[in-house]
Amino acid sequence: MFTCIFPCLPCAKGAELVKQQISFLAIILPLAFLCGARGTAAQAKYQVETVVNGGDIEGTVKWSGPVPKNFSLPITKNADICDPKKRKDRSLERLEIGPDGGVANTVISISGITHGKAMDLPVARRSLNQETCRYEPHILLVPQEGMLSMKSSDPILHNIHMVGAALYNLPFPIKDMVITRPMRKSGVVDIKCDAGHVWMNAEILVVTNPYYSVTDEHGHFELTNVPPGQYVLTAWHEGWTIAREEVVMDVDAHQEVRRPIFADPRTWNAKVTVSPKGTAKVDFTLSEN
Amino acid sequence: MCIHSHRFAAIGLVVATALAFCPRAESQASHIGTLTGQAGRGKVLYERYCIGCHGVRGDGVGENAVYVNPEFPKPRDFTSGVFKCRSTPSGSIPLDADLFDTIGRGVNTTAMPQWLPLTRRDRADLVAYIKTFSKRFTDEQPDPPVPIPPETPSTRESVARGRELFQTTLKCNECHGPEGRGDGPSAPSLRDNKGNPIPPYDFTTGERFKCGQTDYDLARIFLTGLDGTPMPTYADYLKGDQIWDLVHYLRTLEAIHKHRSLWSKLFSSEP
Repeated sequence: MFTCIFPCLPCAKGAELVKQQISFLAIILPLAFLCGARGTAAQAKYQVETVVNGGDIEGTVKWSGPVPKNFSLPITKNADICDPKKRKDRSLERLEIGPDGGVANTVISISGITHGKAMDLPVARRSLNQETCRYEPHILLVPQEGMLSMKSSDPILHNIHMVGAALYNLPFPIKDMVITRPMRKSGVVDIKCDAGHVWMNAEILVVTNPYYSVTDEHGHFELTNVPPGQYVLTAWHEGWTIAREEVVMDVDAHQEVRRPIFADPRTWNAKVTVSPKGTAKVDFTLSEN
Repeated sequence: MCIHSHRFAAIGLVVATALAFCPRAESQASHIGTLTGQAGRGKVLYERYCIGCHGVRGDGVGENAVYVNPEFPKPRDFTSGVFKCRSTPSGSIPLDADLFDTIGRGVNTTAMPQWLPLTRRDRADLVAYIKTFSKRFTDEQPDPPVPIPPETPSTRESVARGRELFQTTLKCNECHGPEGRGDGPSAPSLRDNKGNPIPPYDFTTGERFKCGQTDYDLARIFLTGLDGTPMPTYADYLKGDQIWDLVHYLRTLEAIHKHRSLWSKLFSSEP
């Protein structure tokens, strides 16, 4: 053990003094890191550069095991607009598994990538439509500080009520009128409609770099022009199981209502090496466990 | 002797130095006109007057929260940094003056009373302390207040235009009902951000609104929305005089017109 914590000159000599200095730093640096540096120790800012000999990453996300039943809710309002095929209920689209086992709506990204190509995420992923009382697309990708474009193709009232990294609450009473908002903070935004269409839900991911891809109906994804190197690839999927139900009192109907709360999103990681002008293959397998 | 006394002194000095880097809750301030509120003083007031409902951590689950009438919205969770009554656009944190006004005004149709017995200085201090519960107040800047044009005369034509907006164009009746009684077809499914049922405002009561009493307060609610509730912002749709057309129509739904000028005098954030 060191005999002194701080240079107290009368009792410090030679090697003792060195020990004191070290012990001082051993205490002050972690504290300073935890406190003063807390806000500045955030993830490094993404730098755009010309990618030389960039490679691609592609693969699939497949489901393993029995296919769970997708959660759905009865269509209780505006059935003429919301239910043109007379199905009576609507899937909440929390887990979309195709006939070939491909899992759609999984977001693939490169964890912690600090430099690479300029933002080129597809415009369609930051253009949200409300059609037949359904959000299209179900998963959106918006560059941080980019504009999210929204409209409703339905001739009825919808609203986009955001909770998470953005907190806008925007109504859409006029068909096809486009509303835009900047998405300033990175992170996940849950959206819902308050206008009686309780099954409407979607997720917006506000991202800081272009290396994001959403799997198609076959579970396929592709990331292009990646700087050669070793990375950790992350698959993100919104929660699809019901974690619990909240029993709330419906004030107007004076009756209890059971409201499903879905589990948190899940992630899976895989290491990948991108070689110059090469194509790396990565497959993910998702399951209930 | 030297070793121990110097060691304790040194530890104290090191910790004090390190804490000097820490963003302390008590360092948060509020600015309302010429008033400056200090969180350190606000903490004492909060623990005396607010902690029972809003809780030690400001998360809205104080020991009295369970006793709040179940038909009222629950006490505000300050940790979310989301507030109904703002002058700023939907999605923005409020101005300090907005929180100050809410404390003095109370929130009608909820258990939140008017804290007029507290001095203006006290209320400013409370605003500073309430801001320490959410990182939004250190990470974000409030957007500028939404502009509200001068009120136009309430005429038969203005009321008719407002009716068209309410019943057809903006479809306000979906939640508030065709007569503004808060009984529209979407009303039963409305939930706040916490998942708790929340009824739409019943205009026929003539009661104060959650965020004020004057025509300007009502206009502001349409433009900002009530964040944390299903009431969205209509700032993208209400142009020019339309905001006043809507206000004038909604005033015709009130069965009782309560005296408003006194409220505006009492609750204004202006000195």
